[in-house]
Amino acid sequence: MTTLLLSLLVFLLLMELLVVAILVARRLLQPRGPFTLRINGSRELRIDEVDTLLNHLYAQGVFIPSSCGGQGTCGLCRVQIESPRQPCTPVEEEHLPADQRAVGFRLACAVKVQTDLEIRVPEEILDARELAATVISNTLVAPGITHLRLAVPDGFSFHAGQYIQIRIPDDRSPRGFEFRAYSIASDPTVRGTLELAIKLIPGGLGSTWLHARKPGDDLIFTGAYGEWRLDPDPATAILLVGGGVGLTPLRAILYAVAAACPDKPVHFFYGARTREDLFWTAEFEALAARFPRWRFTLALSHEPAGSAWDGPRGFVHEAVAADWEPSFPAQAFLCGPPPMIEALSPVLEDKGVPASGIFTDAF
Amino acid sequence: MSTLEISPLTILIAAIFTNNILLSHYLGMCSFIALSRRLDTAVGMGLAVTFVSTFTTGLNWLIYRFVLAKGALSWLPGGVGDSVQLEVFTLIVFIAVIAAFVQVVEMALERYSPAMYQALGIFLPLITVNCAILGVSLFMVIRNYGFLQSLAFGFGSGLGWLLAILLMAGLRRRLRFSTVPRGLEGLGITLIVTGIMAMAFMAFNGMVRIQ
Repeated sequence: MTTLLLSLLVFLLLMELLVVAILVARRLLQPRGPFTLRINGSRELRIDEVDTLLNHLYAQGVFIPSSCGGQGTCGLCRVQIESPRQPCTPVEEEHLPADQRAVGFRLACAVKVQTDLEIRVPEEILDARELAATVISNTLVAPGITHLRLAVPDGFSFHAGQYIQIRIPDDRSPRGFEFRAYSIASDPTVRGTLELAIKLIPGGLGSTWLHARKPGDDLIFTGAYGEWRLDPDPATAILLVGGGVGLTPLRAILYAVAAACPDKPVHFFYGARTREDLFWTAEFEALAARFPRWRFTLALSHEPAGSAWDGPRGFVHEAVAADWEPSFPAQAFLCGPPPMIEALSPVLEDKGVPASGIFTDAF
Repeated sequence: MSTLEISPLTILIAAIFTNNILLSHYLGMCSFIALSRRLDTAVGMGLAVTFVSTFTTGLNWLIYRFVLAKGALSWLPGGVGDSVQLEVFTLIVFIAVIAAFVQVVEMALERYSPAMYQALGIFLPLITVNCAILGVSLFMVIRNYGFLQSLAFGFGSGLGWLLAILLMAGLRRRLRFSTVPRGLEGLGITLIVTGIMAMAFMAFNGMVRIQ
């Protein structure tokens, strides 16, 4: 008995010693606050403990977009660190192009705040707020795609092409929730409601939760984010290419153009797999019919041969190559799966669209 | 020849080639497979393993010899030292020592050598749970090595692991351009290649032998 107790005692002492060693090392080696975090040269935050920049910004009400919970996989939380300059980790290199890295861009989730920092974020992120919304309706419009309408505070405004981040409960996350990004599909001139189209991804955290929302349910979102900007000049032609559920931000652009500058030449290409997968097409056809310079083209890639479909078949980039008659200046907005965006870039290059006029969102 | 007479140099060479911790004992496989996809991560992880295995072996030897081993505490008054039996705690103490060492090293690197931290820092936490490191410490006890022998063994095992992951990273780079049967893509072919590499390493067996 004494042997057992004494041995345990010595063992515990040994463990305590190790813990003390770590605590002493932490005290000696880890820098301690307070640190000053200066954002865009104006706003100053005081930070007391060492944590990631992403967590600090979130805690202080600066809602940097991030949809992977700080794992370094989504690449959304980019910020520019003006001083001191720090090298990127290999994880960040996969998300940041070399020209951005050269001017100090980092992912906020990979930056530990352990010194005074000066950072720069897009102004719109400083304006982003955390807001509550209520589900008005949630209806399936195509297999696996739901049309979610939300009542939001009247003060919330956004530009066509922007997205919001919705807070999704997640048991596996240390803070109990994660964010997922969704493009806004509704008319930006309409205040008080937001519309989204969400594709169900089996096992997906955000889409399964959102598909299960019922009218009256509440949710929390931050936003709006995104740097797509519509050129208001009526002479600028607009090319819109949406693949599948990727047409969501393009619908917002269509309504914004219809409200502000309907004389623009607009050509909207909508690519889907089969007729079954199409949604909102009647609405787009009605819009295109209202304005003489608007055109709407559908392309189906996997429609079975011999079906009643008499429109173009094949991938949407082939339809753009064949049907789009560019006029310049032009802006191209592309949203859809990555292979679609990749396939479109040589097509647009051939047609003479400069890279600065191309806005993409691959997901 | 008793264990104590083997020279540290022999142990070092044996730990690299004939008794390679990965290829003859299959320890440290998870990080080996995960990080052998790219040459730069393989080098980083290999160096980190070498560093940690050398130092933790030394540290664990001291703790074992002066605290855990039978009779190590017999200098304590009142016969306390003779009645404690700490050898049963060897495994758990080694794990804790390795984890604590890695934590402290990580903090020190971050503070004093940010460049090094960038290169090795992300691999250090992975080492806390790397069984090759623990295996080296446990073998050292089983084989009754002295201090210098243990250091040589720890250093050699780390180098052996580095060698194995470097070879694997090179092989996997070539594998990318070869046609692998569908079912074997990724993990499957990697394990098979590791097995063949292990067999090739058996050719070193005549060179030196420790146990």
